[in-house]
Amino acid sequence: MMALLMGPLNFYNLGFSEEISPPISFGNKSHDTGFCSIRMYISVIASASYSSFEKNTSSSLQPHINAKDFEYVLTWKTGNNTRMPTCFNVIYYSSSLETKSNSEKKDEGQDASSSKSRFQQSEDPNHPVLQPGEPSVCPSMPERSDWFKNHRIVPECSNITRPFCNLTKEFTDLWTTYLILVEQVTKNGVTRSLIEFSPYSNSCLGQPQFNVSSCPNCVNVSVKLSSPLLLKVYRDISYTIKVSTAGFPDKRDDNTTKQESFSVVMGNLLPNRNYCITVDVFTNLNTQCSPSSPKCIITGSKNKSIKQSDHIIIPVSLGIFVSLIVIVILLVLYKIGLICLRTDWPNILDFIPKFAYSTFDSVPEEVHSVKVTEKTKKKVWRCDDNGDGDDYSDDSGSDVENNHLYTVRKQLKNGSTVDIVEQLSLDSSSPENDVSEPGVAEADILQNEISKDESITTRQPLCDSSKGNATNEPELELSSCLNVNLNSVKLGISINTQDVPASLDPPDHEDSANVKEPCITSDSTHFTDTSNVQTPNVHSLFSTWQNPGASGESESSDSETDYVGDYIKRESNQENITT
Amino acid sequence: MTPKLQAAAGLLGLMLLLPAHITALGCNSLKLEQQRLNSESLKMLKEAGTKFPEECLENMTSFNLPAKTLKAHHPEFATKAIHEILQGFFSILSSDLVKSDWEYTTKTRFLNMVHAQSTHQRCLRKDVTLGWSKEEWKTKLKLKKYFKRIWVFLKENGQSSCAWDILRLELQMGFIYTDILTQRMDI
Repeated sequence: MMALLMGPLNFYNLGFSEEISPPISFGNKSHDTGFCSIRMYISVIASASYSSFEKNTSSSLQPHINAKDFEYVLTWKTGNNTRMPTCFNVIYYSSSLETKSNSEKKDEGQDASSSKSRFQQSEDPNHPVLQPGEPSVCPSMPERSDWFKNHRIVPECSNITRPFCNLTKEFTDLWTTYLILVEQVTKNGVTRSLIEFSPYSNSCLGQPQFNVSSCPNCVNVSVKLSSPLLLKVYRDISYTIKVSTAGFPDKRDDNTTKQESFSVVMGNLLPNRNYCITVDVFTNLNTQCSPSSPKCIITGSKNKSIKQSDHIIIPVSLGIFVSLIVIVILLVLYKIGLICLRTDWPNILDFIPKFAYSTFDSVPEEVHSVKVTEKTKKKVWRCDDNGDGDDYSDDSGSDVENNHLYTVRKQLKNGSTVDIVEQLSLDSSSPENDVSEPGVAEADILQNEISKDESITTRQPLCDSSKGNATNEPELELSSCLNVNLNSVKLGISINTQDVPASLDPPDHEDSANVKEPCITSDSTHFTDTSNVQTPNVHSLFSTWQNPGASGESESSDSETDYVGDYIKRESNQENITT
Repeated sequence: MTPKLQAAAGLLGLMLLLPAHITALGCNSLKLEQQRLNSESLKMLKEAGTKFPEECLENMTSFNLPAKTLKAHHPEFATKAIHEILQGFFSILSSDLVKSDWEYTTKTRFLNMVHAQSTHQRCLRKDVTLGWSKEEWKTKLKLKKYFKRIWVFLKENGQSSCAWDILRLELQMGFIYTDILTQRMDI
């Protein structure tokens, strides 16, 4: 019978010793199941109803405080099986109580003394305080000694028959140390038991709430602390997230937080693998009341559909984004002007197509002939003076060479035949003709020509071949024309080259003032034709004119009398020819 | 020499070396060392008195550890307050005013820990300004008065059986305060 009666009591004590749940009968916050609350409720009722019939034979109450998230529940054992009516009082002391006024203490003491006579029917643990008029089974309280001077009797826990007391409202000072005294009052006497308790250092932390979500190679853990008071008291909370899977070592993340809710990503995990995660919190002095239950998840499987959609959305969005950027860049380049589409010319440039000479049209025939004449003059000079084949093919010519020729003319001016030379310079024809050696025999000329052919560079044959070979370039032929275009020999040359005018367009209509005309109007084919019919006299003249140019200007400038003589000799030759 | 004595002697030697080890460390580990000291001290004090004797309740004396100390939110202020508390406890425990229930090795270990931490806090003197603010002076004076009350109590009742238990409760409260202040060190 006694074992049967003590069964519920022991079951109740076991429930508290394991700290499964705080007593929800006091209206405290509880996160435990209803089964525990029902179990405790029944056990408390049973223990309280039978405790009044028990005999108090034990002096060891073994009080214990379950402090979880600053909610304190004091429990104790009721001793052996007795049928003696037993009541309990909870009294506590702390140094902070001494600051309270004495009047308050007196009132509390009166309340406590008055409650001694009250009868408590402790069947309902939610109403532990006796109501006035209720019959009391508690024995009378003996006189307390002086050590109660700084005590405080918990009103809700005086003369109770239940073996627990909620002290959450009493322990407001978290940083002090409380001395808690539990009195067991029976007819045989009073039994006391004392414990120390510090809310700050003796409290344990509740299990944090956490959720896990998987990602391909990681697990996202969202943690919420069990109470916001933890951060207010301890300022920062340390936590440990442990990720474990079969066959691999556990992964831990030890860190501290100052936020009530936070999330941590545990990376470097294997995909499609079952991981179990536990989250524990602690402080320097406090640990978690009980280890948290693990939550398991398979990485990379839960959000697979979301990931597939991500694989589509991300590239498409990136493509659209990149194309938009390209379009914007092109628009900017177009606006700046770096990209020119087919558009009309600006108004300011509309006159360009109205030019008489379009840069894209071919040069008119007559204009081109004039330019060719100037070029050929320069080419002849270059060919004769420097012997440079590169300059020979150059249309533009160099001013240096022209200047050089001009100096040559000046030197000629200093001579006795000033008038003649000026006439030559004004005619802008080749001055080299004037400095050629006069009166040289044909055999000598041919000999010189042979020697030139042997020694001269690649350009010289071009110059000389214009006299001997019929397959030379038209410019060379043109230069030959210019060589004979001297004012002084104007008619003589046209007569001397008897066959040439026959091939030229207007050979018979030339006069001395328009010696250039045949060259200007002539085509390349004409020159090739004329080259074939050149006479040896003309050829000898070219060879003689080439010699001073090839040998050097110094030589020609030193013999001014020779030049004059040469000119005179030409004159005589002309007379001979005309005759 | 029994193995137990040898172990105690070895432990004592290690404890004597602890101050030098901690002094060699920089201020970076000051907070960590302080947290360790707080937890170790509270653990040792809890083990020292398994049960507070009921008869000592009559002689309970409140020394009123100034709660204003906890208003030291500034790291420098908190560190100075911790230093004052540790110095006060060390001077009391190193004296012969109280007859403790601790064994000699336990008491020596405790004193070494407190002394080492106090020495370690000297590394802050380079960084922390030497001046004391008005608020800090007030707190320092209150702490001085607090320890003076303990000294007076121990001089009168130091050799009683309850003196050590009453002092032990004050030490617990003091290390709880120290732990709260340690959170604000932020070094």
